[in-house]
Amino acid sequence: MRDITLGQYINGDSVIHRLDPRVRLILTLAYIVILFMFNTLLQMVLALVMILLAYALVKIPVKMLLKSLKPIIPIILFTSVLNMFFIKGDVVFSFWKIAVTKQGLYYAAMMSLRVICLLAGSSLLTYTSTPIQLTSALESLFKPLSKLGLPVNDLAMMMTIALRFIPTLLEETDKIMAAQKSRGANLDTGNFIQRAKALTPILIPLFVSAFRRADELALAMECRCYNGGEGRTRLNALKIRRLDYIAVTVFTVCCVLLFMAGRLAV
Amino acid sequence: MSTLRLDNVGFTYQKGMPDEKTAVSGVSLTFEEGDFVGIIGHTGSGKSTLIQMLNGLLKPTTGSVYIDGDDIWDDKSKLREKRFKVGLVLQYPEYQLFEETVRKDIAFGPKNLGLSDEEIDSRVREAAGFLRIPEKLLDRSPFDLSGGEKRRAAIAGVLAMRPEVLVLDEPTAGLDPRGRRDILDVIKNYHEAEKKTVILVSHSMDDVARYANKVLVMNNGTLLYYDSVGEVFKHALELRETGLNIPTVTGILLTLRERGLDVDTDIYTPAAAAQTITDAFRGISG
Amino acid sequence: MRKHINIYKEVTVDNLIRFENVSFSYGINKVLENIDLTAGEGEFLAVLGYNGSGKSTLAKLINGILVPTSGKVYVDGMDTSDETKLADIRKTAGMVFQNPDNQIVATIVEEDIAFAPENLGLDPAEIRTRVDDAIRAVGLEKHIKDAPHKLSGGQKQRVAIAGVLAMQPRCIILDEPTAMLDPKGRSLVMNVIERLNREKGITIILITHFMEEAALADRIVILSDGKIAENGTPRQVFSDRERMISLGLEVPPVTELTLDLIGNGLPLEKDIIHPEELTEALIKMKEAAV
Repeated sequence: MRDITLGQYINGDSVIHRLDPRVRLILTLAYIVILFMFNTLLQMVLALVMILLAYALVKIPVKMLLKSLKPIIPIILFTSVLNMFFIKGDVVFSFWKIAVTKQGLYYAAMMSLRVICLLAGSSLLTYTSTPIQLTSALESLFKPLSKLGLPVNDLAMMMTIALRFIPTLLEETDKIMAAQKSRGANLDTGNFIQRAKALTPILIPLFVSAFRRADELALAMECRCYNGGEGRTRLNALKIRRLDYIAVTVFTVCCVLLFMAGRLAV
Repeated sequence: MSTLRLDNVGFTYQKGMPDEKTAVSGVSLTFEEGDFVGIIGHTGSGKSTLIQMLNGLLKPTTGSVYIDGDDIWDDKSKLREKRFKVGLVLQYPEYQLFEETVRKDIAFGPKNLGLSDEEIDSRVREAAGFLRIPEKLLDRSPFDLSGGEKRRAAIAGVLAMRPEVLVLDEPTAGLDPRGRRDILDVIKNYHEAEKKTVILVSHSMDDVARYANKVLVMNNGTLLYYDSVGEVFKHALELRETGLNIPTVTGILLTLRERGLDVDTDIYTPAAAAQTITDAFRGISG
Repeated sequence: MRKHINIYKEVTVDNLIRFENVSFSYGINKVLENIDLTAGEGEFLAVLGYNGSGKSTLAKLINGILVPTSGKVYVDGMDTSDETKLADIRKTAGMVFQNPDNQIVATIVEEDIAFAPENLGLDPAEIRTRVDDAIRAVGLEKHIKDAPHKLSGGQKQRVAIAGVLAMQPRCIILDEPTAMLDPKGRSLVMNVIERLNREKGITIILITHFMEEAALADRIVILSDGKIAENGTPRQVFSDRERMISLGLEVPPVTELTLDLIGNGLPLEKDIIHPEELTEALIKMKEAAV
């Protein structure tokens, strides 16, 4: 009875949702790249403001973002501590032998913000894109490679089918586990080797079932005239629209501003 | 022999989360030794959840399950022992087969019980016997068997654990009429020979009527009726209202009664229905 | 040339599907022998038989998944052993299988229904129309953007039917489509099938072992041991109780009841196959007697 939603997609009709998924993907990658190109605190703050504005557009409650930050708090704390205490410079205060420097605080803040922006940026992509949209985007972006012989369409079809069957196979795993537990299988105790062996009664039926499914699915696909990726059209073809041009322009302007801010900051 | 008792048992999925769902609530009853109980109820009425609490697969979120007077969740170390007194056969059990041979697969359960090789061998034979699995199939790969044979091998795997209570979730699902008859006959013979409690979840009220002596009706997660077959089928009209597919002939009798013919409606077999209709007509002309 | 089979619809004797002396063997196992069978445009044909009688093999021979060992199968005049014609044959005769899950390819309903039209290279506007028509025909408009794993078995099976409808086939073959469904799912799927036949004139070939489903057909073919044992209307076939049982099948409960009542001396027609017919006949008898 699990509700398995992959990729944390949040349904919505915001400006960002309406962008072509290829544009969303490329802008996210570009954002991540520029995060690593800049090194001043001011730029990081501006980058954070940028991504928060994007979140405001999608109307995602800040609570959600804070919740997704929880797992990386240890990382932030760790890097902050390292930076605060071990970067040499103008001492702000010290106790015992450990000194906290101004530069240390600066870098700690900058690194922390960078990590936060990284997470926020990539999460925004998965909040606003379904796995299928991402697959379509990748398929389209990689299409030129099919001229080199790479079976892009077939790979995309495989990705789609895999995504479609993950929840189904997870449910099936639950059922198989329930059946074997009812027959005395012990899945929770023992050392590593014992537990690995105990997985056989789960994995074998699962594999057999997966192969059977693949067989039946392939047959059903043939009966619906599937013949490889050649000549297939799409119901929801990806199209670049005016909104996409606007988004790219706005993004570029922000990048320029960020770049210039680097000149201002010391 | 064991008694299986439920005291105000309930189960809520995802408890505490926004999408929590109460599948079963407030079920209290005792399964008497040697009964053949049919569990019926519309899809989503909680049948599957209920039976998974009987063998400890699911821990009730409210209430307790008692096997032989002991709450099965009281003592974690004794849980396994108690659980295996209830043998559970889930839907499409053939999907659990995994061993190299049918013999080894049936032996999986007894092996997990820590029995000696001789005991395991004897249990495998006994279970195969109940399920009418011929000797020559025992050394074949389970994946080479036909659908019906696979199902019987899977059920044998549970019987080989000699449970005190046997619970089966729709053992006839997906089978053709002949296959359905075969499996139900096997279960009936097992019940008559061993005199152990059998609990059968089914969508077919015809099957339940033919094989069970008691019926448990689930409706929206709660217990609606738990009584002898005859008593429960007196409520045919209410049963139909809960979304159950009552036997065709019972539906016909209800309609005839509505239209003024004096027939009994707690009937579910064609032969008995023919009798009551004939009597009603004799009543008119006689 | 048209022929009135029953008062509800017309069937053209065009032999949309034609089996000519077809035999099929897996290696040395003879699965089907000397099958001569036709299905006309708009007809609802049910194929019954115990498990192993060859029903599934028969279904797979229709749209070229399997090719006869001897004899020929024609779909709208096209020979199924002609590989160049397979795409057209499968467009004309779509197929729905038993396992609802293993027919759904995409992660949302809408895209799965679009799968066949996409394969046919149709343009997006045409695909859109077909998807909308198909989903309306099966009554699942509300679920168009749902993920398949969230649907019930009956809903999944209807999605599968919609996926086939999107090819605009003249015939749909269904191989035990309700075997894995609960009673509610079964009746929803059968409603859709029956409506498609009645309202859109799509030829239906239903492989099943449920008597109540076969009772909806215009004609029933019963397979036994790889051969055709019976070929007639449900009324003709069902009322021979002994024959049905000898063929490994059951008689629908309403027919059993009718035969028992006739045995008790009540003046009823023995070819009653629907509960409503029996209740009407009995009420009429009661009113006459009173």
